[in-house]
Amino acid sequence: MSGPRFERADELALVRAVAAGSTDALAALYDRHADSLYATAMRSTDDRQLAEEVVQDTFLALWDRAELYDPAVGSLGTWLRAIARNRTIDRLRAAGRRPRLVSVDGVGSGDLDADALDRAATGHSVIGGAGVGPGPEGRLETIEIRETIAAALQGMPEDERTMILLAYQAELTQVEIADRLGWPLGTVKTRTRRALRRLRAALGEMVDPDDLPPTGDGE
Amino acid sequence: MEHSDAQALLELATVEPAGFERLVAGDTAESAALAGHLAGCPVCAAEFERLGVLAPELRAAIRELPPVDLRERTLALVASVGRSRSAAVPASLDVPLSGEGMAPAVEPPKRRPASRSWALATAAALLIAIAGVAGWWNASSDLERGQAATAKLAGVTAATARIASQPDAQSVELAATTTGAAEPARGKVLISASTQELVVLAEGLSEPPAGTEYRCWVEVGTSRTAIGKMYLYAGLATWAGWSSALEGIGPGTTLGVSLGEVGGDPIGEPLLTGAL
Repeated sequence: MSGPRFERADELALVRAVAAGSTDALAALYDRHADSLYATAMRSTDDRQLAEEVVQDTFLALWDRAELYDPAVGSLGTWLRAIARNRTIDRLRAAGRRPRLVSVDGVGSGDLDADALDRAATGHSVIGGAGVGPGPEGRLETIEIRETIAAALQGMPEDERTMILLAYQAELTQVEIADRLGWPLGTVKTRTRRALRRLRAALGEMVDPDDLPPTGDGE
Repeated sequence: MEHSDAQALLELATVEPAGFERLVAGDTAESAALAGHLAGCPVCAAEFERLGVLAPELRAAIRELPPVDLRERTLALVASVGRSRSAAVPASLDVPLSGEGMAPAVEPPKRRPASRSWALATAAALLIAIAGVAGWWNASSDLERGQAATAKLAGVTAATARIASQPDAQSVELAATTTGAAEPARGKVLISASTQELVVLAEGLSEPPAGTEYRCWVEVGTSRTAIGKMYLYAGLATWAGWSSALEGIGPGTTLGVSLGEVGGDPIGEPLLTGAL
């Protein structure tokens, strides 16, 4: 199909622009690949700080070495994931830890089926050799859910988005969030519920059991 | 339990860390009351089942989303320590991006040094404080409180290092608003306007009177906004994190630490202030 090929040509133009010093091109590539790189790093490390550092290292490497990307060897996504994997291993070793096993399917974005083969072809090591993973359909669904949630969060009022991120990413309780932000607990709860309802509306039936009746609001 | 109370409990537990698990454990009066309501309310029982599916899915998906500010931090890091592109690569894109002859033409990355001495000093001071806290709780057996303090200070140290990596990182000294004390309280703020992250430290503060707490705030223009309640331990008050109140900060922006009544005026009585 021409889709992936078109994407590769488009990405090659962006990589060339990065090589010429365009930070806009770097930002565009970040927007395309950061979510999947971060998700993979999180699954390998279970450590937000490390995952953030891996993403930063990867885009710094892209900036510094854009000329070394060879589209004949594999897609840009594959190249970036190989860099991210190596950075993950480096950082885990530095921290005296071992990488967690991640399915060879990974959690990538565009080139799902070619990914594992590309990795083997480029001679890069794969973290672990874990199980079968969710399979292409499951991975697509996971990616779709993640993208839907990301879009819903972006479209949410900032105070509500803050509630969700502090709860799920910083793992703060509602009392801790109220403390942190200096907001009354009641306000935190109201905004949290509002934010949750927006997320549910965006997700629709994506993660709800099919056979259950529609949501009753109760208020 | 009223229908609306059950609905609220279920929704809040979906977002609370391990909230749903605690709710279904049934070992509190609240969860027992909920169990009673669910037994007689098919609407809430269905909602309970739906949220039970949703909660772990949401948690997993959101945990795997990069923080929103990571994009700006990454681009700032590249701008700060990345290779100087304008000198190394011609603007023309006629050169091949791969293949023979390309790799040798690549110059080694040129790193730009960043002055971070103040941040390193702060981080070092915090690490000393952490070591002191660890020693203290070992001696006093106040294990839980000591561990919480150690975790908080470690978080502050990590935030200090993060802010130090920002090209626009600044520090502000906070001085007491009143004079005369033999050893006046003082403080310091490390701040990055681009990432809207800051660390506030204050030392020499006594335990706040009952019903009061230390808070930090920012004043942009004429508008003073509370940032949050400070964590006080062993004479060191800290706050670290991101705040949307930092939007629009610049020269003249004032930062401060106050003592305020719990549930009262969100700013309180300023004790320490300093300006960018």
